[in-house]
Amino acid sequence: MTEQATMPPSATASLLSRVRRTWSRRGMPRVITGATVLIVMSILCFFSAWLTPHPPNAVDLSARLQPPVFAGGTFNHILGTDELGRDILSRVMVGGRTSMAIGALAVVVSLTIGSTLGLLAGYFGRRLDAVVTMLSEIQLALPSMLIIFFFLAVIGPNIVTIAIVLALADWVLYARMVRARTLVEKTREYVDAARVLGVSTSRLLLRHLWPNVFPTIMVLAMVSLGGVILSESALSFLGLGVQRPWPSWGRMVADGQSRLQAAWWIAVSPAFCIAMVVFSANLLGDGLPPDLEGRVMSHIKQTISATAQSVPLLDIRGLRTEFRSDHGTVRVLNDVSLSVSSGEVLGLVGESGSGKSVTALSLLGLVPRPGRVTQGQVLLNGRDLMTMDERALSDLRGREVGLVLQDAMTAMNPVLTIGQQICETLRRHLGLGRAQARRRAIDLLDRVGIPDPGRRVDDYPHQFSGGMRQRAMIAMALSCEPKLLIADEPTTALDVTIQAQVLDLLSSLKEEMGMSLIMITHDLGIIAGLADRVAVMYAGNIVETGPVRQVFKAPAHPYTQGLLASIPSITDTTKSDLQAITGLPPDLAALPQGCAFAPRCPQRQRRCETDRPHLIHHDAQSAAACWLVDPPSDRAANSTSQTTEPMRNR
Amino acid sequence: MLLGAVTLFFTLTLVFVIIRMVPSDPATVLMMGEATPEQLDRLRELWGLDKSIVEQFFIYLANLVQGNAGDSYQFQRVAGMPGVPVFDLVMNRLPATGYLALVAIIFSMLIALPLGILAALFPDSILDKLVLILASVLASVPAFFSGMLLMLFFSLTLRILPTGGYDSPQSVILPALALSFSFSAVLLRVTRTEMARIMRSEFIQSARAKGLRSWRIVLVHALKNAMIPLLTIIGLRFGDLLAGSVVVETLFRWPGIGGLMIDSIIARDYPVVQLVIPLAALAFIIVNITVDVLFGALDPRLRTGGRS
Repeated sequence: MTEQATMPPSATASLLSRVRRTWSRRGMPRVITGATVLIVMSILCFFSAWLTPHPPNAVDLSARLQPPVFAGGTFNHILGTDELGRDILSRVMVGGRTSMAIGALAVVVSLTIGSTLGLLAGYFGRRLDAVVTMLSEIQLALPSMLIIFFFLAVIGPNIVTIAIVLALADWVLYARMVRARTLVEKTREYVDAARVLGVSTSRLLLRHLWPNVFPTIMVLAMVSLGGVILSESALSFLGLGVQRPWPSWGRMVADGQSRLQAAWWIAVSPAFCIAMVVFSANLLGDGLPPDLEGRVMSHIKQTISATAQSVPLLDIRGLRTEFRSDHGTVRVLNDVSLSVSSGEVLGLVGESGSGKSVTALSLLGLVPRPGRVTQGQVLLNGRDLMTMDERALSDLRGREVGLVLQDAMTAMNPVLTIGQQICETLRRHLGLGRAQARRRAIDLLDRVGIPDPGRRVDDYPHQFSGGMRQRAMIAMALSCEPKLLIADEPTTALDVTIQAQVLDLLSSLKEEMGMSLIMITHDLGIIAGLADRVAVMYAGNIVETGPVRQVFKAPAHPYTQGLLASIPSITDTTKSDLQAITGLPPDLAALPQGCAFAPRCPQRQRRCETDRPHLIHHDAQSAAACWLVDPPSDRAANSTSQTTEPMRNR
Repeated sequence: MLLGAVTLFFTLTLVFVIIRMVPSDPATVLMMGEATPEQLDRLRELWGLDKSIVEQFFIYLANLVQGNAGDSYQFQRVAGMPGVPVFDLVMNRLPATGYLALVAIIFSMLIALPLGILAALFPDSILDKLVLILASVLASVPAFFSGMLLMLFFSLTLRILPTGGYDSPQSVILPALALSFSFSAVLLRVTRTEMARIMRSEFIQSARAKGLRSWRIVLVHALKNAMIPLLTIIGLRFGDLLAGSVVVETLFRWPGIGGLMIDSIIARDYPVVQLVIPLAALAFIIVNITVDVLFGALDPRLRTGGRS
């Protein structure tokens, strides 16, 4: 709380509301349930001296082995009685005091020892760190519970020895976690700042580092509370637990074991209590936020629109993809339309986050959760992919549409060989046998220029160099000779010379196989060299589309103009200074009402801030979504329509 | 390997020292106060307990290196004579515990893998939530209690499985199940988390982009990757399994190491304790070395000698 007090009020408020939001969905109910059960049970147990309905040791032979009230007993003995007529509820309450006291004590001791050592080891490092690390490694290499059994049997059990011994088993967990967090925290600026201000080391550790490490530790403490209570009950069950003054729950279960069939409630009541406490502690631990960072949506990406010539191979119409999160819906693709003809290369460009990759994934039905295509059509050879079921769609993926991703290192399965990964596609779609598929795989590797393919087919992805891996990935995507290949930043992860080779390969394979290619990139140079047409994306919209030459020569949209102005030119020496587009890409969750590019647009007009422009054809092949573009009057009527509805959707 | 050796030696020493630190000595415990001081002294002399602790330790180590772990104090063929060699005693019991642990691991995998995979494939579904609740319940119930419930239901009510012992092939089912519950809770969580993480990775996306059947994506592409963290956890938690086996063996009268250990500790049967606990530590170390070796088989990136 002291940390927050130093923040500006708005920052505190936003932090709190973020915490509240991230908790509210799943954390809060768990924390409340877990904490309530734990608190109620603690009160019942620790104040049992005043709360028990009967003296826990009062023998009443007239009321022997009475069942609990829900099994036909009386309210006098709610949980029944044991073989001596003692009230089980009272005994469970008193016994719980032992179990819970040991649990709490053990957690406090191990937390204190562990986090102190972790903090010191992490902060001071060197020899202390080496010793602590070594000790914890030895301990982790031991079956610690067995050692505990042994210790206790030898030392003799009472509440304190049990708690300490159990604590000795757990300190490692705290030490390792605190050490790791301290190593991170001590590099943060606030630590340097404090040091410069002359804050003493102990104060730095206690007042600055510790509060930052503490939340993580609380989660661990709750989980290990459950573990300690379980361990204690196992000890008691083995006869190594506390006998006096009151048997703990584990001991009571063990005592009830002999009468399990005749009087199950004797053992069940304490066992149920153990399970309840452990369950609640785990629930509480699960529900606490491990850190206060709100969950960041991992992949936010986007789209296009374009005009059709004859019958396109791929025709995307009004594709809309949304990501739902706790905080509302983010539309990452906003009515993207675009088409690719047979043999054509379409370049899809835009900044990262503009929706290029999501377009590719959407059309294959592969948008990651929580994303969803909410409307639109994707016609491949006239068949609508969006209406297909998963099975039909999977017949098509890899067979008719191939996908090459940016980084083959993450896009290939690290534990399967290159050959296996190519063969499985061939066997799946072409029904080839094992040997046939293998021959074909070797042939494919050869075709993409991998030397000694017969040997390298059995290598794993990590054994390939970056360029070779990308070639193998291309071989994999092309194995069934798809009609359309989507290459999502296929060369971004490669160095420049390799880039050129891979691009050459793609372009020659495209000619050879007569397929269409969608080239997704932010590199306009690649588009210029490879593509026939280009579509420019911005904030989930296609803002301009047309033949590459025309768009590059006379960009209609200010965003395209900005993109082109920001690349250095070798030929045009007059363009001495590079123009970067000012401002940042928009937050898709909070798009402006008008044109999404308006805030960054140098040619902004009043209308741009209120109305969203449609994609409008300004000649037969080109279109742009900008109010500055004058449509030829005869074409204005049948222009591709784009939504004007505001994108905010909360 | 070095860490393993250090750990093992550490355990040997620790057990040796700690057990001698307590006032009550084996002779007194064993004779239960029915022996004269002279008889007790003779016993101590027989067991070498009259020597200094350092001397005892070196004798113990020297014998251990030669494969002699001493004779048991409590298990004697003839009263007052050297007892049964501890090595024989332990080796007789070891297979039972190994067998129990193995069956328990198999049971845990049978419970955890299918459920964990299903939960990972349908995150936030009802199924996912049920699986998580099941994992929490399995983790919260002590093994002795689930064992008692299993016994009550299958042995005493349905009468289809024995209450304990080691006589019939079915005897292993209940103790292994009881032992597997809390273990499977751990595996269940790891399977679910790891499978969910892996299913989001790019290579799964590209596997899907290849149009592979979903079962192949899940069972080959994803599961093979998930086996790596699963094995790690099995290795790390193997100690818990050993500890759990002490409880379960006691409950089901399973003639394994666990029961022997508890009896021997209580009887101050030094030689047995001095062998059993380091042996458990050794088993734990061996399991973890095996896990490391299996990593190589599962994860080609960890294999040595590969081109890169």
